[in-house]
Amino acid sequence: MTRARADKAASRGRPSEELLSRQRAAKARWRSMVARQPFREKVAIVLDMQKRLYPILRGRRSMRWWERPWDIEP
Amino acid sequence: MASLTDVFSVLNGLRADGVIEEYAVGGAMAMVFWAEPTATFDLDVFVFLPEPASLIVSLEPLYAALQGRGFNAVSEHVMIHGTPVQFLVSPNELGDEAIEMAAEHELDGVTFRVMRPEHLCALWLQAGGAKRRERVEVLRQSGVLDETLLQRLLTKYGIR
Repeated sequence: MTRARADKAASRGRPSEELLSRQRAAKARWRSMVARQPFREKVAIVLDMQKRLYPILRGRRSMRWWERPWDIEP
Repeated sequence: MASLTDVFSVLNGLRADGVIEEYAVGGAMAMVFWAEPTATFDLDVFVFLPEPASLIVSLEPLYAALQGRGFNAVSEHVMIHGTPVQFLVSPNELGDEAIEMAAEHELDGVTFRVMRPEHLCALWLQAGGAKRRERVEVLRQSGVLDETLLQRLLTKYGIR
């Protein structure tokens, strides 16, 4: 790390432990809330993810035959 | 249009017909069940096959039974009602326990079996890899893990 970069890093404001702790707790609460959603709603999200992800992945690499959005309803 | 319940019905039918002894959904879709949705393109189903004539396990009888139901296997995946399913034979005693102790749930009147979060985590930690460790953390943060049970499994199966 260059001296200038080190000086800049030293002068940057940083989150307090209390803020970090609150943010981690919020993330855990969100995960817990999502986990309690009905399975069908989560499957609907997975299907939506597949539709969004598929064209991106297809543009980056060759897809295996089964790697495509599922032809089902939630 | 079909839904996952149709896939679960096929799995239950395979068990009823003795093609498989038991099954449990594992992998990413099991994590979706217990925690948050994650991107995945296939459904992992761990199975016990009937006692083989030899120690060499073959999925051919299972694939043949599925073909008889109109679902063809291609490169280790079988498209069942629009969902690519990969059948995985339980690889070891931890896998056996994960299938045996799987939770039974119901969706639209169709029962299905899904591995419990502690077994999923133990299997992922046993297999190793960054992605699997991340899944363990997601399950942990979702508040669905019984840490005491997970530690017991890790000790029992010598997983660090």
